[in-house]
Amino acid sequence: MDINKHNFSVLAGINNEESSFESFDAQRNGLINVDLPSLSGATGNQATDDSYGEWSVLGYFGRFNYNFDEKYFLEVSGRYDGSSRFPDGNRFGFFPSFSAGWHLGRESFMESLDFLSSLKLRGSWGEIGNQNTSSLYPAVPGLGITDYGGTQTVNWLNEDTGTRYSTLQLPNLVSSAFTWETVQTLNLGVDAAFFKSRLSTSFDWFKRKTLDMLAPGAELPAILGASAPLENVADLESSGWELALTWNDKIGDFKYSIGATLYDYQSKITKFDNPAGLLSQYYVGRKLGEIWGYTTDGYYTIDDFEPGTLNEDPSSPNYLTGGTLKEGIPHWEGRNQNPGDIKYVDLDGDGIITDGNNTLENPGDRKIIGNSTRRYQYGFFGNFSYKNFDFSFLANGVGKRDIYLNNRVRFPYLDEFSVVYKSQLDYWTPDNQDAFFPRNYPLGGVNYGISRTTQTKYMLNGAYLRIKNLTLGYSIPETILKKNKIDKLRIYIAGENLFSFNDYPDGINTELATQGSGGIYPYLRSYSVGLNLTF
Amino acid sequence: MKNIYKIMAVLLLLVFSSCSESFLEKLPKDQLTVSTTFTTNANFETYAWSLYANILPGYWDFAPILREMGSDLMVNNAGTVGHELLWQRKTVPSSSGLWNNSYVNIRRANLMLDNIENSQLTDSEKDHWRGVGLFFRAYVYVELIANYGEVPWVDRALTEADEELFGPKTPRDQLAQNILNDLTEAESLISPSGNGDNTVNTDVVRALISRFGLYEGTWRKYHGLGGEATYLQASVDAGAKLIAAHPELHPNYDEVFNSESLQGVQGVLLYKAYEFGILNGRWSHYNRSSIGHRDLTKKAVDQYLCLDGQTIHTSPLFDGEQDAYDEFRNRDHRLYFNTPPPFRVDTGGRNQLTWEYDSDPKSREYIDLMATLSDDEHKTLPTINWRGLVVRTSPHFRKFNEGHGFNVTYTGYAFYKFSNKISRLQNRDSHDAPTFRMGEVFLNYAEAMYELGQFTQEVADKTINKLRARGAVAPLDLANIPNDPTRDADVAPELWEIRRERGIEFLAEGLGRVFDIKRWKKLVEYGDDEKLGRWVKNADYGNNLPIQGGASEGYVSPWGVPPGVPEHYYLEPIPSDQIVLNPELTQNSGWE
Repeated sequence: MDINKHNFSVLAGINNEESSFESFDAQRNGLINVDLPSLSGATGNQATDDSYGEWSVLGYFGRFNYNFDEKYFLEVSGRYDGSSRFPDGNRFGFFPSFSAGWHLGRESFMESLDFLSSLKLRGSWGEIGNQNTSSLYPAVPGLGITDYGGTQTVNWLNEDTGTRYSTLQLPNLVSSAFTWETVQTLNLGVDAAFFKSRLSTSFDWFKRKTLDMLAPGAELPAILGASAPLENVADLESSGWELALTWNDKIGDFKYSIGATLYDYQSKITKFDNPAGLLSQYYVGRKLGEIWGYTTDGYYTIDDFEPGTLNEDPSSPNYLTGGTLKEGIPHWEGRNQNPGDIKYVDLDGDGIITDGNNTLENPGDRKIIGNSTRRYQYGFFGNFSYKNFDFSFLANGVGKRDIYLNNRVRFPYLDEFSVVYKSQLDYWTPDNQDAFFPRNYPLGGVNYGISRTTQTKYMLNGAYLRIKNLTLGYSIPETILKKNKIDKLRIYIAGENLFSFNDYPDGINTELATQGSGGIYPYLRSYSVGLNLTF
Repeated sequence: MKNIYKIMAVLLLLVFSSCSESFLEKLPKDQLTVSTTFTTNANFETYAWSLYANILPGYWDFAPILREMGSDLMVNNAGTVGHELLWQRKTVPSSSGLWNNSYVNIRRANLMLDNIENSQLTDSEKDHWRGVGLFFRAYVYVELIANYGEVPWVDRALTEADEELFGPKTPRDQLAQNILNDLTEAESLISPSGNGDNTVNTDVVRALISRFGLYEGTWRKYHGLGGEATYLQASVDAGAKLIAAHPELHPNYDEVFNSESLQGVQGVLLYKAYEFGILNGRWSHYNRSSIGHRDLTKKAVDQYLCLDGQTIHTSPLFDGEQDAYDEFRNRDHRLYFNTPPPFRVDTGGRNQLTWEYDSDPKSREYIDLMATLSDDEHKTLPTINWRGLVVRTSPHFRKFNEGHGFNVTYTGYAFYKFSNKISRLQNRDSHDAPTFRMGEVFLNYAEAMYELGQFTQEVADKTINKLRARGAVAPLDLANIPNDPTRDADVAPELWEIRRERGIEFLAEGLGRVFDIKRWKKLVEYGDDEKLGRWVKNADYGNNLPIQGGASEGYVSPWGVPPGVPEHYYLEPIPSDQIVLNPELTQNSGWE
């Protein structure tokens, strides 16, 4: 609707989704004839199973847009959403949002700035609802039925049938008062283009609050025998920014565009019921990804032990063990240290390295030594063409990240099932006391485990740069093609995952969220040659 | 503009339409709720299998056997340091699976107990399921009291708002009394035949009373708490009824632990059944691999009597300990089922499935003997590794393995009570695990009777001598007890023989040897004994074995002399997270 320079539009709607599924399966092993599979044509035990589930959502929404003269923009919208996952009385939530924009570049007073092609300021505030539960019926304290075909958790045998018994699982405690999580986002941004739109830029800053997150209502003593019910008790706040730059130009036959993006955010807990400050749980002020660990103070050396107490017979399997530490040298609680074990800094000064009672107030000798959040994520791209040749590249990476890996790829010989990789040969021995990796023991035992615990020395720099793609192409000149009734023919060679610059042990995929045991599928580096043909 | 009003009107209508709430009303179709679960007898039975599955031990979890490494009779030979209990390496854990899981299981039992009254059960069914619930709850509390001494008593399914969550520990007197009261009530309520074969019934409840009564009674006596008579008497009463009903044992000791099925096996009151590929155990497989198996100490082996009922120190049948073949001759047959007797076979130096007799006829003495005492699914010699490769010799040392690293030992005495040759696949054992058996009841009864001053020849004949007969050992004659020079000075000869029998018959079962030592208040006394292996001449083993005192011949000593066990190690530390969450919960003394 246009009235003079006032433009309006209004939208309203309803959405209504219902999902239900049923599954049924029957299985019988021991086919008599594998070419004629049927349940009756088999001889083994029969097993059947089924499952059912339903969920529905119902939402009403409306939106109002207004702009004046394509310069001033305003949008107001709202949703009223309901979900079957929440208990009666708490099913619906209302989520409004507002946004406004100002095309500053269209103002007459900006026209004198001829290097500026366009300039727009944006701002928005809005809420959306989040059903953060994977369970279809989180409000119903159900006793799930387990059977052998399902979870294999029933460790009791029915000897009459030779199968495991079906039984019922302990129901979870549920709260009758839980409802939607609200994700509230404040976003401010500016888009600008310069030099006849050759350079376009945009910058956004955001603050996102996840309010009323579903989490265990409080950490409760274990004598409850169940986890505390999920309630809307936690708040999380993230803030960050994003910058994007692109440059397009052409110099004679040489056309190119290059661009870069840079993105960063951090999150922290702003509300959580954990008065005891247990580190095994969220606490107010906890930054997501923070890594608690010990501070490394090098190896125990022979000089740390009372003279004459260490076994000094090089032929003995107990060579350089059994010593008594000198006064004032800390040791791990409950351990007899040996030269070559990692020595930690006794932060709390009690002479013993411990994790205290694992609370904020008493974390023992640990402190925050890093953060595994991917900071300063960036990307570059470029497309270049000269006459019939074209070339492009794509790269991305992370500017800052800490990773602690305690797996077979990182440390040599964790147990009898692991090996020592070539990159791990620099480990402590009486003849190599200056080594990178600590002293190991038979079967990776004794103090090797505590020498590998999360600490500053073995923290990895998780920053990386990957060249994801390089492509070089050549298009056959059209004059040649026309004769053969071909519109376009381009041949190219491309490489994927060609280079990666990082400090990781070989074979670790830099983009995986967790690195697991190290036994993961590595990147495939691939090369391809191809042609694009258009008739 | 009018359109807007129309749209708004439709919207408002929908918002307030009554259909929306019912559209969003979805209830699960494949799970039950508390009110639909606890209705019929069949439902109670279905629910109760989770108690069996989650609470009773079997041949998968290693915790019960690993715990024994802190005792005087066993050594972990895959380890690289001595046991934490003996080497002052125990620390307060920040959280504990034992603590947490115990209370989950208590909740499991309580939920059933709370919902019996309003169910559709008949009165006799109500009695039975109450008995079952009380039994399982008591079973968990017995483990808790043995570990922690005092824990909070919870006898209903708590909610997150209950103040009891933040209460103190229940004093031991009260806790023990509650357990005994529950078991006594369960004994009177539960159906004598359970709910079918191999289920908890009156006999099984009595077996737990027998176990707990002896545990609590002797703990109280030796730790000076007083009030032991009630518990010892409860143990004796339950034991007497069981012995009257089940006076005889299955004749083959080894088959109690290594049978494909324990169904109908005499003297087995309850067992955990395994079935190949459906529900598997792994103790036998681990026992026959390069890790995960354990050794007996020399002290454990020395306690086995000679066939004449005399100790190795007093029997003319004992041929000496320096030669392994001599050492094993004329001994209690249970020794041959709990550790492999000496042998050597010829495989041409290869790891293979077949073997020939060694050229030295001496090497086959026990191969021939075991062929008469056992069969090829159990304990014939040579022993094999997990997939059937022949072990060439016993004793077989980790530090001198003659080119085959499986089934190795530190002490020379592999513990192979739960080992058999039925399955030759990883983690695919199918032999059943006894959870309550009359062998234990005999031991409990004899000991409780002694502690009550009522141990007589007649009692010995009904108990200890039945067990000895299975090992072909002459009966215990109270008028003529052998004078064992290794007997503790403060333990009377009769009691010494009862405890000896327990160490032979019942190692790594029930609550376990560590808890026996603790209730006898012997932890500190036994704890600084050097754990030894067999006598060796080190030159025979490439001078690779650690010998006591660094000598060139003598007893193998895997870890040397331990530093001694602190007094407060009698009880486990309460996990620190629980104390942080509930300051009313006080730490056990010495662990603060």
